Amino acid sequence: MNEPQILVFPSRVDAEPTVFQERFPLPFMAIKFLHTADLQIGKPFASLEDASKRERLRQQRLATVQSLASMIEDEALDFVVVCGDLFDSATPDKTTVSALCSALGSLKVPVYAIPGNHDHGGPGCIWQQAFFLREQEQLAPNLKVLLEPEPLVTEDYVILPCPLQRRHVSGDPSAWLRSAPEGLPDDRPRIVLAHGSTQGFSSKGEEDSSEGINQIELGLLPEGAYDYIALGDWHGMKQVGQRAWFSGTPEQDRYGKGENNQPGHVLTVEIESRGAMPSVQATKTSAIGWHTLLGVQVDGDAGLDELESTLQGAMGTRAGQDLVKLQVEGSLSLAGFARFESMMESLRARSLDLRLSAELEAEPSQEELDALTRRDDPIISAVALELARESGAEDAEVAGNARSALRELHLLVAKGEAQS
Amino acid sequence: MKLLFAHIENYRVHRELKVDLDESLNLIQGPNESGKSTLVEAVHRALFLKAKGTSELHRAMESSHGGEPKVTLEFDARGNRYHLEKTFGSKGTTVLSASGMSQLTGGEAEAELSSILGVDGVVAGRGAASTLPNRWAHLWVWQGQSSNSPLEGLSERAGDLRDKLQAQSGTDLLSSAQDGQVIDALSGICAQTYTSTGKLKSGSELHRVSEALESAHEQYAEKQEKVNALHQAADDFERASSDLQRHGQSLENSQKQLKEVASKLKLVEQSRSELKDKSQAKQEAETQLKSLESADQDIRKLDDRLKQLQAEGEPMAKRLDEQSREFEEQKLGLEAAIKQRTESNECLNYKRLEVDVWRAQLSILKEEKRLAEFEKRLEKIQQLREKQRELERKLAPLNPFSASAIKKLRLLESQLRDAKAELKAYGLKIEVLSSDQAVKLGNKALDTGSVETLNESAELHVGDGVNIRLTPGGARNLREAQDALAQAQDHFDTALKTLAVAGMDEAEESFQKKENGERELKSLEAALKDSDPEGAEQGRQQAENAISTAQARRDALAKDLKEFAVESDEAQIEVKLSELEASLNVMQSEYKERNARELALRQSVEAAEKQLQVLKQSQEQHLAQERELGVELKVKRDQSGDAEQRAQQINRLRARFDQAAEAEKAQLEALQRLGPEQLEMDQKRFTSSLERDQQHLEAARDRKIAAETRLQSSGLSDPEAELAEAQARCEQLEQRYERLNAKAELHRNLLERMQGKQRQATQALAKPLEAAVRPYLQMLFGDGKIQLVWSEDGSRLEQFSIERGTLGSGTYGFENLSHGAREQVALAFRLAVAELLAADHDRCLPMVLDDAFTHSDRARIEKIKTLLYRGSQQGLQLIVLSCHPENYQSLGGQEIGIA
Repeated sequence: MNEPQILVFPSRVDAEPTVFQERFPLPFMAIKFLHTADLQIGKPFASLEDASKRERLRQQRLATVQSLASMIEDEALDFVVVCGDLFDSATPDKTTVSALCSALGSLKVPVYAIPGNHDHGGPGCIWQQAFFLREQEQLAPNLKVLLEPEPLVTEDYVILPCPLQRRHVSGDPSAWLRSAPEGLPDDRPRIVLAHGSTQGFSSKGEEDSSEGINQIELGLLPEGAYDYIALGDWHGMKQVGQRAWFSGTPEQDRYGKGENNQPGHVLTVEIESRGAMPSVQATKTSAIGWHTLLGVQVDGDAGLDELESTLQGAMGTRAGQDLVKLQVEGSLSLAGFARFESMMESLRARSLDLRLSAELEAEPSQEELDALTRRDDPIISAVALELARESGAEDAEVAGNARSALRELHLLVAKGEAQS
Repeated sequence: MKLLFAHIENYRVHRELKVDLDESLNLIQGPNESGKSTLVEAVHRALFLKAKGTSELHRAMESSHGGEPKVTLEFDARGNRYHLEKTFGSKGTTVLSASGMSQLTGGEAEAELSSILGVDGVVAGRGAASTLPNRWAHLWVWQGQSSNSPLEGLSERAGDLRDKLQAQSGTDLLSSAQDGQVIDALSGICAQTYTSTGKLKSGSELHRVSEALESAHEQYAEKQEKVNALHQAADDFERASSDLQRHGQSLENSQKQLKEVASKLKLVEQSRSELKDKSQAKQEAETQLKSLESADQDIRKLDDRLKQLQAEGEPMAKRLDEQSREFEEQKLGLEAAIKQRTESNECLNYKRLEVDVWRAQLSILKEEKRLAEFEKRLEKIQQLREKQRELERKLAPLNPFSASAIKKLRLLESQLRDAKAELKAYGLKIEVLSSDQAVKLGNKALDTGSVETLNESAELHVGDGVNIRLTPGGARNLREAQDALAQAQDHFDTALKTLAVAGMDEAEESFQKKENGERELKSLEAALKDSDPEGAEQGRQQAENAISTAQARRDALAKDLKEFAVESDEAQIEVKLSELEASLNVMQSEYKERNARELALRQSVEAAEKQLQVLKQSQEQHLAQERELGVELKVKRDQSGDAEQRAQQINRLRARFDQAAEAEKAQLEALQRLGPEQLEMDQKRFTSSLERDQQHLEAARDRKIAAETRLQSSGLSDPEAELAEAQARCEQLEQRYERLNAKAELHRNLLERMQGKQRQATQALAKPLEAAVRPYLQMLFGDGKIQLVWSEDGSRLEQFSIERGTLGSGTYGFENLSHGAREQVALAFRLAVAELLAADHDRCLPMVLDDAFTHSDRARIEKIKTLLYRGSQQGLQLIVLSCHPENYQSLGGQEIGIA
């Protein structure tokens, strides 16, 4: 091996590399591997209405896995561990099965994987289906799915899998490691693979986590018995013990929650020898931008300008690579509201998904109101006057309806005038 | 504007017609074809049609009288009196003049006229025929159009009317073009979503989304079911696996247990077999002991019994002996008694024979006596019969003198007497009391005091001069009486002759003789009957029979008697019989006594014999018993030995039995220690558990295979992903539906609001006109109102309906009214409109009503007259045309006749 050095990996989106821990000098027998989890290939992204956009997100998850090949080659990684949820579903279709096998096969090095809560190893699981076994043999001979909690001893390392063998497992899948299995060679690093939440840290609130079902009690594992505990399930990246890490998903698949949530990374782990502290390095791999803009205040044209520049900052001129969750509130004139609507029209087209929550008051300006109420068209002006009166009503529903109607009337009149 | 004068020349039927019109109310009357309508047409053309022209209209005006059609009008307008002259045709001219105004001609005149009349230029050129009727159509009701909707006539004046009404109502909220555009746009948008009845339109986006949502829900349920089925299969698989394991373990355990139980059971089997042997040995010893003990017992009992029998035998033999002797003695006594009784019986029988013989003899004697009596009676009867025959012979000739013959004869005699008497009554008695002259009857002279009876006519002569013919009873009756007498005599004689008698007395005598003879015969017959000849004959026969029977009996019985001599003396026999009977009685009582003794002895002997038999039998039985016992005892002793031998053998057998019992008890205890029942139960239990486990295992294996099959993925789709997609699709569609629905509702509400405003405006516009019509309707119907609807832009009146107070409830469209009601309501409306529009014409406008009330009855025409009068009072000039002037009496207007 070469001299120790700090490797800097360019991320897919960000220019800046993220380095979590410096690497230590490596002894001759050191091993170096890639830790990832929660690939969730085949995730339907069903909340997106546009089928092509859904497909775009699905394809990206595969592309991200494929993109790991160059990294593995560049860094001469020995193997890859995937800590559960390779598939999004326990019953993936054949296309998805073939695609995953092909992507993992392209990584060349051995890939050790355990089933997670999404793709558990229970009865009828995908891992035992004839089609999967055939595709694995032909496309991904390097893939080894560990379905039983028993040590896998290689010449250079020991893998200790904690697979989820059922759809619902109420116990700790790592319980079998609470006393180190007998007869393990003590001259090579031991790597635990597990899927689930940990003490004091769980993916509570995540819609598809295995929360509360398979709790991994890290504290009960004997100290010094294992060198690295590779965890999956939580989609953010997080160190949860001296030797325990969640890698998170390599491709972000939902809107982030909180600042500590850092999805879209893989971890490169290097262990010099049995007992040595592992060196862990994160690399951003996510290609899709998930933007969350909450509590944006828009008042008048100035507010709209500000919103426009925020969106510009987040997405630039990209199209088809971002998802936006936008929550706006404030008050706009009728014209301002029309502008806001056209902005949203663009945003909706450019993004893969726009989840908009707008609490906007469309208050007509005095000129707008005058233009509607003081005109020669007796019906329009009478109705506008009536609506303007109602929009100040105490009953919020009445007032809201009146405002909407006023806005609609404004649009209709404007359209009529434009035509004539 | 008021029409004052019209002068028509060469216009159709009219060569020349001049009419002065009243300023307010005119009735132009004339018969059909008189040219009333032509007159008002000429006036209308003069006002509105360009004079110069060659159109069809112009040609139609031409008259057969020749010359150009010319109309001259005078009218008041704008405070002036105008004079208008129009000559129609290719060289047509128009001249309009008024005081204080220079005369106008041609186009200028036409233009000025249009301006005065408030119309949009004179009607000319092409299309004139269709435009002309619209001119003042609200004021001009042509013949035959009175029941048309009055709205039709408003086409040209609707704008004026609206302006007037708007000014009156203060409403200026009528739609603008822009309003209309927005409303149209909104209607268009709403029409995409809703049908005209406000229902969701199929094919609209909202409808499509709603349907898609429904199908998405179905899809979701379907996918959910698929996933559930997979989960169920996985659960089944796990359960089956766990069952396999559990029952597998149970099976193994049962097998192991069974093996252990089986080896223990083998020991039990062995022990049982030994126990059986030992029990058998014990039983054998017991049997032998018991049999010997019982034999010993039997021998002792038999011995005792035999001794007892022997002791009982002696008294029994002694008793039998005694009884035998007694029986022989009694038997001898009985034989002696039988002999005595037999002797007594023989004596008795002989005595009875003697009695019977003598009784028979006595009976013979008695019967012979009876026989003699019967023979004597029979002799007497013979004498009576001879006497009877003698009498009958004597009576035979008197037969004709029957009672009826005599009666008839008597009648004839009396008739003869009567005839004689009648004839005698007809006689005339003549008695000469005194006479001074000779009286002669016929030739016979009658002296004083002489009496003569005349039976036939005779002449009575008194003196010489007096001759009197006397005819008794009238000649005729006398003769009849004489004839009757002759006839009666004749009949009577004939009857006597028949009876061969001379006279009545002889006949009476013969009749009497016959009567007496018959009486005597009757008494003879009675005597004969009393002596019963048949009974006497019978009695004689019986007596003879009895005698012979008794003789036979006597002779038969007498044969057995030692001696018997016939005795004929009854008394002797009686004595003998009484002696014999006394002796018989004595003998009978002796016999009875002996018989009783014999019977008593016989019974005693029989009883003794019976007892003897009993004793004999009893002794025989006793002896047999004794013999049997002896034999049995001997056999037993031969078998079991004597008493001592038996005692020794019993002791030996008892010791052997005790030993065997001890051995059996020990073996049983050993067997109980092995717990055989428990072991057998265990074996049963484990076997059945084994079977059940095998069944369970088989079932679990089947279930596992079935679940595995269900879990085999086709891989064609991902059910979980599809479920997530289906759910998301439901949510998206729900949101979309909400959005679309809210938007559609928004549009609909906005449209309703705008249309509502429009309606308000047009309703307000209709009000003043509705109010103006109301007083006229009240006159017509007592109450009522009309409802008018303006088009949304106020360009025309679109609907006209009416509500009549007293006549039917509800609101009717104008077109739904009857013809009569239509022309009445139309008049009311026209008057009201004319009133309103008159404001621009010096508060006066003419209205022409040509035959406008043909559908109204008289009563209604009375009301119409009131309406017309009110109209005239409001300033209108009314010109009514009719061929029925009588309908318009007291209209209060000027009447103009056209010939």
